[in-house]
Amino acid sequence: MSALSASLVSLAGVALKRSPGLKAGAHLPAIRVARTVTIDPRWSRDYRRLVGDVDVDGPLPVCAPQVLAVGLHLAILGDRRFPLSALGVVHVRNRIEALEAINDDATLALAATLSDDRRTERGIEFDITTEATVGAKVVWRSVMTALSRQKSSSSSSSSSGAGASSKQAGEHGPVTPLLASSVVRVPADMGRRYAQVAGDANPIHLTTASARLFGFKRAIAHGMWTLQRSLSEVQHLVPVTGIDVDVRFIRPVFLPSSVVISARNVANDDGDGDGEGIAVDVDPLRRGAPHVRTVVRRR
Amino acid sequence: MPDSFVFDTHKPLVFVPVSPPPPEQCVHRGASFARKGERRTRYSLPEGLSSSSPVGFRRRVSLNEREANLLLKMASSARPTSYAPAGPVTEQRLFEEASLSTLIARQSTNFRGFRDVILGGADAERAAVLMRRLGCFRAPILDGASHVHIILSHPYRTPFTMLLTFIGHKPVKSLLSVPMRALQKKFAHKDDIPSVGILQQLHLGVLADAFERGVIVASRGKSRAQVLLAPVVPPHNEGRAALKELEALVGLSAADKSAGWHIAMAAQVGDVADDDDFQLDEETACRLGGALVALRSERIQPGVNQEPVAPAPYQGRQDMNVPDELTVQAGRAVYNAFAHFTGLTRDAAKELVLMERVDVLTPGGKERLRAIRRELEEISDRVIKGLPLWADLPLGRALSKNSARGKKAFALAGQRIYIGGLSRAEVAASGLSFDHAVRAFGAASARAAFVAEVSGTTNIPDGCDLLAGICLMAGPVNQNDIGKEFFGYRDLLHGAYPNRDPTSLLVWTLKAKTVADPIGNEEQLLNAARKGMLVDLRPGPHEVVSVRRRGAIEALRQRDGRVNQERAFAAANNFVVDSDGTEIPGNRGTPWPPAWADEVIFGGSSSASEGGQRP
Repeated sequence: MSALSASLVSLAGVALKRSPGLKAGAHLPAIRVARTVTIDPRWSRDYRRLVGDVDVDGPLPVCAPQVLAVGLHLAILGDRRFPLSALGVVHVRNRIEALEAINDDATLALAATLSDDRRTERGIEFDITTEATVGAKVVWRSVMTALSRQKSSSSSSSSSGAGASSKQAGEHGPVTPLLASSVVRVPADMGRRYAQVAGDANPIHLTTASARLFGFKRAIAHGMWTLQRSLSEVQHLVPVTGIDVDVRFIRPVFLPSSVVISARNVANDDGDGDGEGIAVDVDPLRRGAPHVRTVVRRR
Repeated sequence: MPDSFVFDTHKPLVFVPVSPPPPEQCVHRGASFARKGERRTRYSLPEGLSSSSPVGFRRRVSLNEREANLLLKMASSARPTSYAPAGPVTEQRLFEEASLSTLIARQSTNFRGFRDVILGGADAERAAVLMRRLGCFRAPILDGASHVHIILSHPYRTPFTMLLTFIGHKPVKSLLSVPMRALQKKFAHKDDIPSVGILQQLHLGVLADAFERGVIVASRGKSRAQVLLAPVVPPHNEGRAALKELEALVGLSAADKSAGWHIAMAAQVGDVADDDDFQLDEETACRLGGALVALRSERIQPGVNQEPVAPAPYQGRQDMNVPDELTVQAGRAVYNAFAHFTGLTRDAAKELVLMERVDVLTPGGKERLRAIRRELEEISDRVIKGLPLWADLPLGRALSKNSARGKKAFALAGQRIYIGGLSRAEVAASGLSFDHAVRAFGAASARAAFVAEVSGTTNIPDGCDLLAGICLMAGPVNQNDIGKEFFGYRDLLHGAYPNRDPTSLLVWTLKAKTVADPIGNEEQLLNAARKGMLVDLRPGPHEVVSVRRRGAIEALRQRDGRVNQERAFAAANNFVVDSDGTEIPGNRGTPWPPAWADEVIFGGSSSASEGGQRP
């Protein structure tokens, strides 16, 4: 069975699962799933090509372990103890700690845990923490924050993540000079091509028709594709390991489209870039709300 | 090569400063983004740039005198006589070399008429052998080149030449003569008027001029170009066999040839043993490279030929002039370059090149300019009147409207105007082919323009875009040629050279001013959505440059689904910004991945260790 077919089966399970919802004051259960995966260098090559990573002999791109863990994330969402509907869950933030270099043929022990949740103005946010271990050593860690949109808002709200206005979300503090800025065309079939490799066949990424069923006017690019593609574009500025990556997904990238990927030093309080980190932005070519805001910091 | 050809009888070029206007007239373009709800015009900053061209929207680099003198020295450097053993040539080096030559040779911005196939290693050696066998270059073919650019060219064809198909026909006969001429143009590559064929040759000359300094800057002073500009017309059978082999080497197919593509010129590149002339450190090379890619034609003279709707900086006349000494230096560059590219003596070059100078600020100059304008407009009116109605009416009068619009192409403005040309009979008597002489004239014109531009961009005062610019114009010559071919007019240079049967080739308009032309002019060259009818987009490297490696011909900077997004010499940091420093999205570009850019393409296997390496 191909990655895409397997993904569709998993998604069907997730979609058909009964979702009673989360009672007021209750928290999500701490679900943990794990698997061991040996990376296939051919998969790695296809993935690198898709996300524009050109350092074919270098370590695995920073987002790759998260892609390998998609099955675990679907397993959590499909778990009968998980009370929310997985349909319409939106990926709003992610923090990745790339601790050690991972080779193309490494064997990774992957473990994902539903680790935290909170109520916001727009719904319930929850975190899935994923760790990749080689031997006894944790080489990579990620906290993925997703939003389950709820009809009524809660009083215990937070304005972070998708709830923030695009202007607030687009700011990295004082503006420093650009280090790079280029336009990347995202083709119409990118969602389908990425789904083949990543095994994430969520219908919102596949076709206009399937995306419309979930309230999107057109298919949208995978957030993790957009993130890794933007990091690959500025590969000369951003190392692959020994970094923390904080990303906010603000507005989807509709397919097809052209986006501007730009990078600048993160400004310090004095307003000058002092090497604290690199901000990588993904914006629409024509003016409008930003798509993605990322900050990469050396550990 | 006959012994009688003399190379490098250059007179040194001297930097001449251009005086700025009074402080209150020191104004600049100051383009900004259109505010919300405001209509965007050709004076507004573009909203973004999606282009694989190495240029982007750039400001002139304000050169210091040392840098200006370096560039002038490059514009009068001798041909190499031999090459030292070649060092490694990286992909980045080839990109920068192409960025300073094939991708920016500026009279080509309205005509994507070149393809550049780069051969290296054994292919370059084989090419040298074949070029010697061709026996037509009138210049020594050198051994030991690290690589060679083989330039392919095709006839000049633009919407302007399409329009020409309909000009000069008799009322009823036009029903037959128009299609006949269209077929001859399409399949036999015949030109409607001689000056269209001449344009192709002029373009090659402009490129030849760019190659010489491009190679020096891209190699950080280590290499020199041996440009072989004479038309590739082998005089004997052995040469024809060699040409076939060379065509195969560069992948010139039968389909290409039937579309008019052919090998037009070559530029060998190699390291020179004595490279003391140009020791370019990385920072200087970047500034010079950034300055070169930012140069462009200037058509607007503030207060003279600006649009009524143009912003305030364009509306006032500026009390500036082109210094006499600068015109002397530009003239010197013409004779230097003509001799350099033909192998004639400098005296012979001075004798052959015909130039009429129009000093617009003098009463006589004003009268001459008015007479030229009057004549060209008369020709336009006769063209419009004579267009076949059967073609014009169904097209909604598009032909006549475009002809009327074409008047802009010969709107002459500037403090100094030169009309240049050659006499066919005199060229033939000198032993040169006319095409070769025209190419050399194109190179000479470009070099003169360059001299003016160097002075016009040195010590630019704060608050100014430049101090002087130039426009090399073929439009007035084409219009005059239409008059000559179809309506019995005389050549533009006839008055100045009544007994020499002149053929005018180009017009230079020199402008001392501080405001750069509207950014919309540049946008037409970079943005497909705003491309003008008579301009072509600045190409990306993958569109016109290819490299032969391991027996295959690969597009430069097209790999794994990516094409170039790098702006050449971005470290010069001369990108156009809004008044608050906001950049045009996508304009700065992103470097080509270092793993690919630093790859050694020719000569040696070690990693990059010379010019072209990233700072």
